[in-house]
Amino acid sequence: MKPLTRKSIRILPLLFVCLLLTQAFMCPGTPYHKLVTAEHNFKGVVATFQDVEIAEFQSGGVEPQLHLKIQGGILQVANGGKDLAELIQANATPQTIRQKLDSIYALLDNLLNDGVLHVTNPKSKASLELALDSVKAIVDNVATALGQ
Amino acid sequence: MDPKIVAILKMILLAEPPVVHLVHDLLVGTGGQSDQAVLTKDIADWQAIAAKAKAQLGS
Repeated sequence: MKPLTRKSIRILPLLFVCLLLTQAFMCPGTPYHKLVTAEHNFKGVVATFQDVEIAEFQSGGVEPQLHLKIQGGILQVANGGKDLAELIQANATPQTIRQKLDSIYALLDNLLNDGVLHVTNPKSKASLELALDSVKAIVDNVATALGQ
Repeated sequence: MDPKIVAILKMILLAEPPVVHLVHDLLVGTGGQSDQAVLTKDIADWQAIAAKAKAQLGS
């Protein structure tokens, strides 16, 4: 057997990293893992939405009454998210998880219609709408991961 | 191809599934934790989001 050339040795780590990243990106995971990942991402975007709203309020872009309404909505969504995580952890039926998702969709609609759409500062309104759209897109991912 | 490279690649392919899953989890942001551990941490994080909202409502 021929000894490895320096060129071959140098190319090996590169090959390994390419192989690993390609397969990691293509890693399908189980449906349960996909659901957990989607729920995890949902939590992340709700936390971001909350931070964006607090920042907009502190910079004067969101009226105090609307700030209270929006944070009240986030509180309900957070309780819904906690319920969702607990249902997934308890291996609840897809129907039960779907019902919880439907209630979260309704809470997000309220958050948009009763809160975000009433923000008068256009820049703040646009930032919040964008952040809320991300939350909705991630909830869609949870529904997709649920397979229904 | 150099048989040594082939041997090393074979070794990588055999050893890779756990590593691939770990890298996948790191890429999707779950940090290589088990699904149950992710959910337990998420439940605590949801409670923190709720507490932050309550603090805003009280301020």
